[in-house]
Amino acid sequence: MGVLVYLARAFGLMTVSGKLGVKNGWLGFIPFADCWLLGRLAQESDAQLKPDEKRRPWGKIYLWLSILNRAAAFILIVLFFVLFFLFFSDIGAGISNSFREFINGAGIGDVFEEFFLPISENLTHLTSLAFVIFFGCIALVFLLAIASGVLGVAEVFVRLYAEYKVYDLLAGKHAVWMVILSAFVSFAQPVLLLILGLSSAFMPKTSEQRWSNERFKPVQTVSNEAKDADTEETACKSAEDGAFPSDGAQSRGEEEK
Amino acid sequence: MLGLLIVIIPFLIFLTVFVLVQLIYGILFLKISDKMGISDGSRFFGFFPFLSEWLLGKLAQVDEELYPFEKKKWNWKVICLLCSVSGLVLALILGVLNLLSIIPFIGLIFSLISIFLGLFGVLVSWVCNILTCLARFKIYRKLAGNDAPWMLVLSLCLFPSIGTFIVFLLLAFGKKYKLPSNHSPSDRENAKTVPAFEQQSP
Repeated sequence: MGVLVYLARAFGLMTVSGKLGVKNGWLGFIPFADCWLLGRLAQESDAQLKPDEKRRPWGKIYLWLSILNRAAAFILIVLFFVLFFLFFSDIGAGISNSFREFINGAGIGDVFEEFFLPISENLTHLTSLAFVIFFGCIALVFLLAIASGVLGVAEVFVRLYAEYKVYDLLAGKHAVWMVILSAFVSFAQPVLLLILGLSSAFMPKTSEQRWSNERFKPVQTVSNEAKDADTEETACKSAEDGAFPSDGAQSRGEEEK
Repeated sequence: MLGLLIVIIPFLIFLTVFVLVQLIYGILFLKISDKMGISDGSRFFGFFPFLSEWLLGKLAQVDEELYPFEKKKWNWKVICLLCSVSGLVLALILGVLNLLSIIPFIGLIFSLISIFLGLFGVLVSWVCNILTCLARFKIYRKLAGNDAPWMLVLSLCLFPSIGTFIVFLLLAFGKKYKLPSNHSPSDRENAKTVPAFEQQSP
């Protein structure tokens, strides 16, 4: 199942890249690079849908977030092993003794012993330096766990937002339920990307195409009519007839009041 | 006595937190309802469990825009209420079935039913979450316009409720988030591209 999901996502990203004219679609098959590719597709969506707005480097943002998140998770696992090692074995005490001798030789050991030995004497396995390493590791674990949590949330946010942008460009109004489905169902994103990439029904729409939808047509018609008639009265009458959906709704609301 | 305290104290803590959260949500719903032009008594429903979901549906219905899969307007009030109640109902049925499953021989049938019902419950919770998110998005779309997509994503990535809480705070107290005077959010966006129409409009 995992291999199938991986392949579907990679093929989906590759085909969508082809549709949007983004080079190096094969990067979808490489871990981490696929994050950059998805972000790059979001950038392309921004470029096509909001050409006037400032572009954000979603590709780099998503790539760095995913790298940092994985790095934090890796360090967290290593620290857990270190803690386990120090807590459950006598080797930790042996290592700390040799360190203590080294510190004594340097002449600053007395200060350390004065501070830490009274505490460590009460502990069976931990000596002074092991004590420092042990609690240092615990503090680091807490800090990294918080950092990992924040990075994880940021990564999910960027992933979903990038997905939304891609769906928005290719599927328009369907983007909302697609992104919600991707958030709740883990295998939805690869399947949706594959469908968007392979189906000819979903093609990137220019801003003009997106704005020439059914809801907007009456507005255009009214403006033409108003232009033809060249009078304000005609335009007002058209608006009351419901040519402006929202204005019509407002006037209906006023009537109800 | 100690055993009683061990049971009662966590329950009291849970109850206090639950009441506080509901109170805060009630205030947020009140502010959002005011912004969305709901002036009847239903705007106070946010202070009560389940009814707050009904109010969410009512607020969602203020947005007239339909989703692509909607043939006609859906009754979001009923949908949201059913979604909030469904979890409780399923949990109650599962509890009863688990109790019945201790009966010899026949209990096996009940435990099988409870397994299938549990799987069905997972599916129902998925559908309910998706529908509730869609209802929330309708509110975001109506009040926040172009900011709605990132708000939706925020409420999705900090699931179950922290993201939604942040977004509701923004909507309730953000001055720029208000009901558009005569345009739906997408129309506001579209209007930027047709200055000719804007000039000629009556």
